[in-house]
Amino acid sequence: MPKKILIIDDEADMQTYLKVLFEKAGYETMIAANGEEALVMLTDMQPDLITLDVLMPRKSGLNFFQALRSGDTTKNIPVIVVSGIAGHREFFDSDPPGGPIAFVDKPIVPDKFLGQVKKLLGE
Amino acid sequence: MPGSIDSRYLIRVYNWTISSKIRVAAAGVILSIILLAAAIFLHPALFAVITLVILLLLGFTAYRIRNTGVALEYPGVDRFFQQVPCYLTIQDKDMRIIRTNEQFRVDFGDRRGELCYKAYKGIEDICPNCPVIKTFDDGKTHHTEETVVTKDGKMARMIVYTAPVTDETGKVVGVMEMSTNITQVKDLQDQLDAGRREYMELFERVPCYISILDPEMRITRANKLFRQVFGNNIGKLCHQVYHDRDTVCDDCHVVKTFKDGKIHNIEKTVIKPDGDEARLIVYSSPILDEKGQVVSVMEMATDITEVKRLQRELIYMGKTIAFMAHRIKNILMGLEGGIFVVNTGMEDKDDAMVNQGWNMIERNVKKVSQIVKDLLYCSKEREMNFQQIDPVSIVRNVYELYQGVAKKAGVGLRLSIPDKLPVGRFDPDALHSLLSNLIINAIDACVGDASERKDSHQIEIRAWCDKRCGYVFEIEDNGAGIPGIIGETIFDDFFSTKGREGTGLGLLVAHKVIEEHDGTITFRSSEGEGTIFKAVFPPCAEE
Repeated sequence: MPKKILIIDDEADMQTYLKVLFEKAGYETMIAANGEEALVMLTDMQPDLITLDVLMPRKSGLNFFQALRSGDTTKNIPVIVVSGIAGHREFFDSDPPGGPIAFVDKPIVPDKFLGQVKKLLGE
Repeated sequence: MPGSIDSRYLIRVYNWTISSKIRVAAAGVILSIILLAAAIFLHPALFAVITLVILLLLGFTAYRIRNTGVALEYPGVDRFFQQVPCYLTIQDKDMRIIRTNEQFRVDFGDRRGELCYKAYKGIEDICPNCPVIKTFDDGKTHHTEETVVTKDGKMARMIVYTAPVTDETGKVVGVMEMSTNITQVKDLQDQLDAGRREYMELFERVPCYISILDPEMRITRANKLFRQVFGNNIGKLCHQVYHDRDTVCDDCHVVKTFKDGKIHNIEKTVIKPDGDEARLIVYSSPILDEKGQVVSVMEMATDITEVKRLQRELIYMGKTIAFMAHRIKNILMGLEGGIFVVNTGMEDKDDAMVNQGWNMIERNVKKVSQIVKDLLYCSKEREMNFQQIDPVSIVRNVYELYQGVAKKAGVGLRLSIPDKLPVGRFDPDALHSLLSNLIINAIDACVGDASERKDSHQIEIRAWCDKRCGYVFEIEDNGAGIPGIIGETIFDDFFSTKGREGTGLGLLVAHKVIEEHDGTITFRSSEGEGTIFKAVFPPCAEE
């Protein structure tokens, strides 16, 4: 059964890009346009990994991450933060509790990015 | 005339008479023999006349010799005359030097018998304001400053004191002149004066505002630039001059310097007399008295308005670069993503995916184009192209362009404008860009609004014109609103809710366009309720 990846990004093009990339690599994808939408989705499903943008309307990536890590059922989900903001990893705790976290700068290199995804998924 | 007898002769006779009593006795004997012979050989009447003349001459000469002698033998003269470390001379009524001391002879030579002005200055006439004459006239002490020439031709500055030499009846028979060489003192004084003038010049001309304040905060002195810019406000309180108010500023650095005697600095905004604001960096430095007490404070201020403007521009430029880098990264992602999707679609022979990827590429190319266009508006590269037009057509065009975008975003777009407006002076492209950016921002504000109590999101575009206000364009939305803290710098900074369509430069573009048209742009916003942007252009000229 394919593993599920939740893509959280407000940019439609980014959503499409990651969706095609992951599906081509054999993963199942779900899309949320912001943190708020993603938290609603997490009440019904449990993804194996989340890719997270930082700057988004309604609920930013950082706020979503804090909510994610404070939920009993969601705190161990691995997260890859994908952002074009220079030094975006500074916004997050250096060693946050819960599941693993990785940071990727835009623009991504597809093979390298998929390698990190596999690593976080333990493949 | 008594003065006709040369004092050189008198001195000589005096010295001769006092040097040998035998010689004086011999002279008396010779004179007596001559008179006896005259008595024998001459007619008695002629003898009487000659004898009378000789006795008169002898009497007068003896009188002058006595005066010279009194002057020369002035009580105590000999005791200190030679040793005194200044120039001492005694002049007779003819202004001839009859006595000199050692110091004088070293620097001027033995000038006894010479006229004093000749000996001291080498001139032919009595000096104006001569203290020797004054002393002869009133018998009192006088002083003056004179420039003289020594025997080796050097100029020397002297302070000259004169004192009367009197006989036993109190009659002034000579004047003692005491001169001190103050050339070095004068040179030092000149240097001091030159230094003082230099400092005054520096104080006056230094290109910053300098004022001296007393403990009451009154300006006691101010330099030229200060006076030029803030007026001649000597005696006024500094907070009155700088801030037009009656109370001392909070956290006043001058007060601190008066308290602790240390240098303090502060940046502050002041109002110039012309009403303009100026940003100053101000240093306060203590001025101490001889006991080390702070008696006044020097306030030195430099106008850094332009520096601050440049600093803001540099910060802005830095932000621009960071913002652009972020934006370009996103566009690159979109382009790379588009290519990836196109390639995947082609591999899978999935036309829909190819189309989807191609649309991504097109969208991101458009974004690049829009960013370049916005940057051009923000920079000074684009010249305005003013034309006489009815702006209604532009407003309608923008409305039609964004109707589809708004609908797709679930936002209603309404247009409330008259059929026609008076023709006015506009750059059509710039006006189009301004309205587009305001509408894009409004759409983004609606899309990003998390409020659940609104049934729908609406944007209304309004335009009207009146003779007093000019052309007014309003874009009202009921979106997320602008947080107060962002609102303070909304036109100076990037404002982006990271909307889907905007470049983040929209309000900078709007501000730039409105500035170029000599108009104003304002906004009213309530967070969670919505925003109204109002762009006002100058009224059309009267026909």
